[in-house]
Amino acid sequence: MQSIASEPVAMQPIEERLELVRFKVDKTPHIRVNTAACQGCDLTPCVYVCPAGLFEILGGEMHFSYEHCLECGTCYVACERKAIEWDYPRGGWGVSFRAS
Amino acid sequence: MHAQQQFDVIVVGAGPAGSSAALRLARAGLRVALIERGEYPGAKNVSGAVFYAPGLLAELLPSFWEDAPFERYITRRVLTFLGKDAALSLDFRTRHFATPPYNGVTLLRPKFDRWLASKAVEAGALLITSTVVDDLLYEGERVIGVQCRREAGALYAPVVIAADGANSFLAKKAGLQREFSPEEMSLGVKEVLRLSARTIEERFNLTGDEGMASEYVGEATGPVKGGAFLYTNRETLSLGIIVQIASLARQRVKPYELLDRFKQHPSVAPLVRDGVTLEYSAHMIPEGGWQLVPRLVRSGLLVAGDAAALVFATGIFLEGMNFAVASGLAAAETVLEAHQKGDFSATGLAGYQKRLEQSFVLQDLRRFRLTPAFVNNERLQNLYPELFCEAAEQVFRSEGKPRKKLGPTILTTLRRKVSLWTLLRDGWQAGRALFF
Amino acid sequence: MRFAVCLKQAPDSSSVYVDPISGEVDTERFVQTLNAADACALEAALRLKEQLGGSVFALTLGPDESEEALRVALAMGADTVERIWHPSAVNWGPMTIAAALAARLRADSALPDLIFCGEQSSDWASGTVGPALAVYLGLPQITGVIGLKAGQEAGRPVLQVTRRLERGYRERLLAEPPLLLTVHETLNEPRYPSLPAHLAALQARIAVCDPLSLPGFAAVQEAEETTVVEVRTPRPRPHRIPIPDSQLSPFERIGEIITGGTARRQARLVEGSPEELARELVRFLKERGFV
Repeated sequence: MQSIASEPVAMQPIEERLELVRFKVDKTPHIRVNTAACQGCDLTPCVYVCPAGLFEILGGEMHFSYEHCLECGTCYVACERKAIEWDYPRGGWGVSFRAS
Repeated sequence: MHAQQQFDVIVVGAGPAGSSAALRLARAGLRVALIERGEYPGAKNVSGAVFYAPGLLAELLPSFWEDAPFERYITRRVLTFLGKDAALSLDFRTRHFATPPYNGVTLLRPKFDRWLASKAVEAGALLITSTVVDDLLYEGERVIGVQCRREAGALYAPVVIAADGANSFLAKKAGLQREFSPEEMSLGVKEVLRLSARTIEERFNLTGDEGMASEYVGEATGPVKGGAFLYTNRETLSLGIIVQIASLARQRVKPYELLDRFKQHPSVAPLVRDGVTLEYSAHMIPEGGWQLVPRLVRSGLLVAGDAAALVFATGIFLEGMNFAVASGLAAAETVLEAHQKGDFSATGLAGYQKRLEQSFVLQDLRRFRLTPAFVNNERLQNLYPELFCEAAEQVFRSEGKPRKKLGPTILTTLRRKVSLWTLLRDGWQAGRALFF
Repeated sequence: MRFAVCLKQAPDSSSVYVDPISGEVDTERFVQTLNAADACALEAALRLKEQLGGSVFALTLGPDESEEALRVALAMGADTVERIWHPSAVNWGPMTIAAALAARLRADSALPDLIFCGEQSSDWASGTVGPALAVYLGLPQITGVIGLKAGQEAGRPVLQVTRRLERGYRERLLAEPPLLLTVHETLNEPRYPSLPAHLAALQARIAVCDPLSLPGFAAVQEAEETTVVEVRTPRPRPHRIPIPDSQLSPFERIGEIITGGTARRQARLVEGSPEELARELVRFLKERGFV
């Protein structure tokens, strides 16, 4: 019988998933990254651990967005350089789960 | 100071820990402020979610099960070792778990947390939503209130219960909790899939409101340390993975890609087929166990629930909400005692630690303190599940050739990948962690 | 001056999910909040009150849950609030709702000097209630307000209003109360209430008024004013854009995206003989990789 697991897995783009989530986006970011500290970081744990895929290295530079943050806090725990300043968004703003 | 900003107790966070504390305290006639940063309780909260030992609520809410927004009660528990192409399960079901107050129930946090908070409000607590608590207020060493992120945001009370969740910012600011390391924290990501109640009952062999809680180790999270879960709700499935943050970063895999892999595993795919994703969510889980539990009390402050890392994650037990409720209630009892004595110092609140030590909360965490390290054992995570599946395959394989007895069949399979010595050592460790 | 603001509790637009295949709207996932344009209407009224003095009366027509909208209004600074409701109102269309609001406002000894409404609600967005209310009350109206300033002329307040028209056109008007304004949700940024105000609002008792008991109110015979043919999410074409700076706010980022990103457009004027120009042009095209 043919093995199914060895077949390529269809990955759903994270953006499609985030579309299902409700965000009330504040004007001021609740995540701040000291991108200077990211220079030369080749581990970039934030890029991999963020469940919303908010961190990306583009052209050798750290880019991030805070709008679709699920507010778990994983990024600042994972960052070894402590470059991520993370706080909760203003009360009533940010993500609101409805079906979880 | 406005009288309006003075309370008998402030509870930060309207999750299971905070709301049960607020409910208990409001029932006792105290002026309770219950502060929640979400638009509604549960807006920021994610669990698997199975609430074990819901009977903890019975003391405050007799026959709560008639009214609580529970999805299904768990009568079926499954633990699966997942290989690449195979799966080996321990499948347990009993009718003894089918009577109220039930052994465990599935629920959806935005609904459940709102319900529990509404009980606290009915009892007289003031629920203050959409409000972040930024810091504690001190008078000398004593905590005397909280600073909310709003204009004129100070609120005062002789005692504060910090039930502010996994990130535990208040306990850290109060010097009770240290910074987390990525080894002791896990990330859970989850999807809720819609299926008809009928399909769920047929697919998972359930009747009426019966439910299943199923957990997976091994290939469920690829090379990353962690596990996966699949729980049945009324008309949805909750499916997700829980992974150690350090391991995720080291393996350089994205959590939602692991989720995709898990969903498409040959032994999972048929269970979730045609499920329409309703929501995607994520949350951090303090899975460090005993090591991670902070100092629980200082003058004018108690820490409860996830904020105190009171999560029981030991592979076969994945519990948090019951620990939250129990710690919330213990904190409430302690606060009542302190109000009677008028002593809110660390010694006056020391009863909290004692109460938790006498209950399952700290006893379970201490007794199973070796388990987190054992569960994160490289071989248990990445080798044994596959090996167990191979051994099972050897046992069940029929090729028209003479068979060996089961012992040699299994042992040869296992010893192809691990030495007998390692096997014995891991067996001993498993025993120490879980069995004796 | 007396201000009245008509509010509605409506599903927040970010909580509305339309299934891309079936086109079905999942109402279970709605998060009900104070309608965004209505919050701006309230903010506008509060700012004018601060400038000119007076009081703000916020009212809504809706079931128990709509109390939340009024609590937000109280927290932001409304002086009085009232909820109008009767179970039969579940089936009312915008014309009847406007008639009920008009009856309630007429029940006071005098009409307010200024009435604010959101231009439209985030759910059905008919944009009808405000204009219909103006008609019922016999007031002049300005719709789609995106700019508002108050001044004095001969001791009387005069409003300078900017109004949004189609295709990006704007209309500037001077107006004197009494008047009804419907406000667009870009007019201002509603304030974030202070904690004492938030607490007071959470504990306030909210008065309820039965519209059927109001003098002069009768349900309006409404034509079927809207027929829903299809509901679906718009699908914009994909468009490649430069990556904006992450440290900026969304507003600034959108600005960057619209203006073409950090690399500004450049124009260079070359002068010389036709041969020189041709050579320069070829050199430029090669340099930029076009040839």
